[in-house]
Formats: sequence, structure tokens, C-alpha cells
Amino acid sequence: MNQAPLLMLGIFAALSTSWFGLVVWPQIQLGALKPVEIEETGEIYPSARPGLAQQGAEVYRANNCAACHSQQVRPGADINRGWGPRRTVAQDYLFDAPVMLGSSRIGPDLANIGARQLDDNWHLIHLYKPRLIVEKSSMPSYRFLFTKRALDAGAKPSPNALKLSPEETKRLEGYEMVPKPDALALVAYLRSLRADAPLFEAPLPAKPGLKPAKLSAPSTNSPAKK
Amino acid sequence: MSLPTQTESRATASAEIDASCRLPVLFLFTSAALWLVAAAVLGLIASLKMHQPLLLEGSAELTYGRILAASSNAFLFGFAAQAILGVTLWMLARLGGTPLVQPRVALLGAVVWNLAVTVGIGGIIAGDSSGYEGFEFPSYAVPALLIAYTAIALCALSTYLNRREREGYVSQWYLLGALFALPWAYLTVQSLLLVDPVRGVAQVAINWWASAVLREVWLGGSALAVIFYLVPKLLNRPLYNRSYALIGFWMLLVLGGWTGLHNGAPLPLWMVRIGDYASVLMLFPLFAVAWNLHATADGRAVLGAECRVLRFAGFGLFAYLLATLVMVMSPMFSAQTQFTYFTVGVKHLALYGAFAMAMFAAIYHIVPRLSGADWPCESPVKWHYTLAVAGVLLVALPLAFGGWRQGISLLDPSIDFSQISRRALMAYRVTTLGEILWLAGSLLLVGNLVRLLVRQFCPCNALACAMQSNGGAR
Repeated sequence: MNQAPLLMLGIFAALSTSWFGLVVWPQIQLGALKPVEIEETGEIYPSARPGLAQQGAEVYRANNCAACHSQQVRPGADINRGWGPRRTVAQDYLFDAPVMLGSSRIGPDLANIGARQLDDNWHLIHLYKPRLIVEKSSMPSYRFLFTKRALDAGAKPSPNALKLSPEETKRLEGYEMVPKPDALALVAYLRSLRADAPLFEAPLPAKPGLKPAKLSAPSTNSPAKK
Repeated sequence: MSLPTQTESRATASAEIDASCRLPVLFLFTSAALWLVAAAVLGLIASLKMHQPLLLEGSAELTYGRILAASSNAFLFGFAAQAILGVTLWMLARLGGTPLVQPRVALLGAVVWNLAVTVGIGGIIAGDSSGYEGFEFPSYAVPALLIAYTAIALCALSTYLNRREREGYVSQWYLLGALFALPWAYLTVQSLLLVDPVRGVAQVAINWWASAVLREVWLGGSALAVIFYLVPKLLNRPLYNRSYALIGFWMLLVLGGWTGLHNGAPLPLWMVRIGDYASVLMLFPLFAVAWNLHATADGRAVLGAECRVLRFAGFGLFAYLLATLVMVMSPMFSAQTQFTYFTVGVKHLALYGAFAMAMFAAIYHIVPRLSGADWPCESPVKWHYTLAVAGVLLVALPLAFGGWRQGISLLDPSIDFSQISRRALMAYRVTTLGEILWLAGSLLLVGNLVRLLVRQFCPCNALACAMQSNGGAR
């Protein structure tokens, strides 16, 4: 290894093996992946996210939610925990950019949160103050996604204000918390997260007498545990 | 070819080479140390927020996710990149027996690099993170980063091509591999993920490939370069076997990029399987490195050595071997440790225990040669070592043990998730202590550097310095 050109060429060749394998080859194998028609429901899967949910994905990215939340259901334990009816596959992430699989589960997996928790107000309150919902939660509060607004004496709260419990409302002392557009977008994104369409490569486990739900209908999954 | 010293003794005098490196390398090391402190402060805040989520909750800029990403990027591209570049410039010049080519260009590159990193960290804090783990810098910060890097790397490369000592040493190979690995990985990320993202999970494969290349070839390779340089030199022993070193080097380059894939990923199965095989095959380069250095030391103490520089390098070596060994065995238990603090702890051991400690050894070895005086006082260096070791262990061990338990509980659906999270917080309380010690150690490094430089280059101190310096470099 005393010849500089030989050494450089060697380094180039050695590094390019994994580059071809993990950068070029996935393009060849997966680059042509297209949305598919689900046999049971006739719907196209996946569909692109609606605009508001897409904006929410940007909020999710900006605040690095993936530092604590994965979006990946593995076969076995994750399914038993109720995080999804089947494992997640390449098809599920087709329109995500960036794909935020996450590498840590400080919080629960969110691949199917849109099917597990259908209540927008639950999500908003949880973002505002996680400990109102999960005791001793280690999730930080995202109150910067909300505006504190003074409420005139005797006035009714705005229709879009957070619907908090009576004692929490009392604690605000004549103020109300109104979600900013970012909060609403983030909730729309969370609601759009679901990987439960039956696919050829990842069919739903067969349950006798139970037909797969339509994608637009509420899922049969149990809601997140409180 | 055996001992780095022999290579250097011929050709140009070492003093002339050191003089050519002085400005850019001292600048790179000092700014690296400052970024290390920044990363430690951010890491401490993140660690506190983990078990005190109500802390600093009011602002988007200080939310946990952003602080965490800012901390890891400050460490990687503020500290690590500049420490590696400083080592590369000096070592390629010294081992090649030739002065550094165009030191001013390298200095200019280093200044631009610092500005680009500042923009990148600011972008992450402001919410412009790219969302790709390990490469969170927004795409607008990357071009300046790559241009600055190219300037410095070209100086390093021309110095290497200019070398008067024809026979190569293992440290040079590792450093050249690392010199190529970073821009290659980041250019791939910038073009295929940030500017025009490819579709779907192919992004994940690219992200994990680039992370693995940085971890194994860039950080791991540079740490090994330093260890392979310092251990034979400070023990005054020839390197045991050049062929072992060659095998270790080439296998690391070929296998490194494959080792970043995660179990159960929504990727084609063959990719994950090859990743598993590559991780297991890493046993060979690991063994080649361990045996080579073991035989080189030939019974002499490395970890318990009297010399502090050797101790830093020795701890780096052991941490590297341990972290790599865990990676080799990981296919056996990855289903259990994936997504847990265990992986975070092992990563911390690799980055802070192996890599950073090796870089500290390099800084403590090189800076006195550049400034022409020894460290003003021995005890802050000793304290830095103690604090750094305690800091690394108090973060890595609790996370590894806590994460192992967390992994077992995660596989059992009958245990409530919130209960698992709560139970694991104990580990994070201990890591806060570790982060504080590490921060104190980093501050000592900055203090040591500043004291040395002020004494040496401030004219009023010249006399005091001449009286105190005990015979120049160790």
C-alpha cells in the first residue's frame, strides 16, 4: 500500500460495495413501487396525505418527534401490544418524505395512531399537557403550539378552544387555550397515520366473520391505553 | 516499517513540519473543543428534560427533539469532524515527512466549516431539521460545509501525495479512508435525501448506510488511526504485524457501510440479512486490531499507563473493542434491544468512550508539539481523564442495563407501556450525573488548551513560560 493511486482506488472500491448495495440497489428494487388497489375494498393504497396532514408532517419533522416515537410495527410483540394489525412494509411509507421510522421508543409507536386514537380533542389536550392524560408522562408539553387568550367575564369559550376538564379550566383563571394552526396540522397528521390496509405482502391476520374495515371508517383497533 | 518514529526521523525535520501545521491544526483543535462543550451543554439539557419534562417547556426552540438533534450534530460536525481533520493534517504531514501544503487554505476552510456548522445547528434549533437521523442539518447549510471540507481535504491529500517517506503506515490508510468517507456519505445524503428525496423506504436504506459509514469508517477509522499511531510510539515498540493491520483496514471499509440496518425494518429481507452477516464478520477486523495491538504492547500496560496520553488512547481502544463486540453479537438479541436505551448506551460508548477519548489522546499528544511547550500543569489533564471516563461510564452503563430491561418488558404485551417508560427513567437520572461530569471534563480540555496557548503566544508570558516548561514536548 505504498502506491497512492492504488490505495485511493482501493478505498473507492471498498466503500462502493455497500454504496451499491444500500443506495443504488434499493432504487432498482423499490424505486418503481406504486400505490396498489386493495382487493377487499377497491381503494388505492397508500393515498397521498391531505394538505393539512402534510403540513403536520412538517411540524412532526421540525420538532424531531421521531427522537422518541417510532413508526414501525414489527411482527410479533408489537402486534400483540395493539400497535397495529400487521407488520409495516415498504408500501406503507411510499409518500413519506422524510420517512421518519425513528430508532427509539421512549414513547409508544405511532405507525397506527390514526386508527388507535380517533379523538382530535384527546390529541390536542395530550399535546398541550401530556400529564393531563397519562400520569407522570415523560413527554414534554407542546404548549407553544397553543395561544393563551383572555376570556371576557361571562363570555362563552371560543368553539375551537381546548375542551379541558373543569379543574384545568379553573386553573387558567379566565383564559382559554386555542390551538395554533400548527397544532391542528400536527393532529391531522397523527390522525392520518395508519398502516392497516391488507396488502399482498402483509395480509391482515384472518379473523373469522370479520371483514376488513374500509379505510375511511374507524378501525376496529382498540384505542390507546390511558 | 514498524515504528512511526522511524518514518519521521528522516526527511524534513519534525520542527519544520510542526511549524507548517501550527495555525490550522491549533485552530481546528480549539474550535473542536468549544463545540464539544456546546454539545455537552445541549446533551445535559436533553438528559435533564428526559426525566424533568416540565423544564423549559414554553419554547419551541428548546423542545427535547430539537435539543437532542442539535447536541448530536454539534458533537459530530463541530467536535468530531474538526478533531479528525486536525489529526489528519498533522499526521499525514508527519508520517509523510513533509510540511503541510497550503496551511492558509486549510485555515480558511476551517473558518468556513465553523460558520457552516453554526448555521446548521441554528437551523435545527429553528425547526429546519432535515428529519434524517444523524444528518439533521438543513440542506442550505450543507453546500458550505462540503466546500470548506473540500478545501481542507485537498490540503491533506496534496500533503500525502507530496510525502517524502514512501512507505505507508496503517494510520495513513485509516485517515485517508475517513477523509473520503465523510464527503461521500454526506454528498449522497444531500443529493438523494435533502435536495431531491428518493421515494419511500429507499430513504431509510440510504440514511442507515450513511450513518454506518460515518460511525464505522469515519469515526471508527479515525480513532483507530490515532490508536495505531500512539500506542507503538509511546510504548516505543514496533507495530507487531503490518498484514493484520491491512486486513483490519480493508475489512472495515468493505463491511462498515452494511452494519447500520435494523431488525424488522420495512426493507427487503436480504438487506437486513446481509447487514446481520456484515455485523458478525466485523469480528475479523476487530480481532485483527485487538491482536495486533496486544502483541505490540507485549505485556506493557496501556490502560493503566503512567502516561496520560496513552491512558486516553487505551481507554478509547477498550471502548472501541467493547462497542464493536456488542455490534458483532447484536444479530442475536437485536429484536430485544431495538428501539431501547440499550442501543443509545452502546452508541454513547462508541462515540464518547471510543472515538472522543482517542481524539483527546491525539490532542494532548499533538498540541504541545505545535505550540512548543508542554501542558502547563499535569493535574488538569489527569482530572480530564478521570471526569471523562466517569462521564462515559455513567451514561453508557445505566442506559445499557436499563435498556436491556426495557427491551424485555417491551416484548411482553401484558406490561403497560407507560409503566415501562416510567421504570426506565431511573437510568436517565444517573445519566444526568454522567453528562455533568463529561461537561466538566470538556471545560477542562478547553481550559487546558487556552492556558497553554495564552502562555505560549502571549509575549508577556514568554519568560514565565520558559521557566516553567520542562524541556518541551513529552
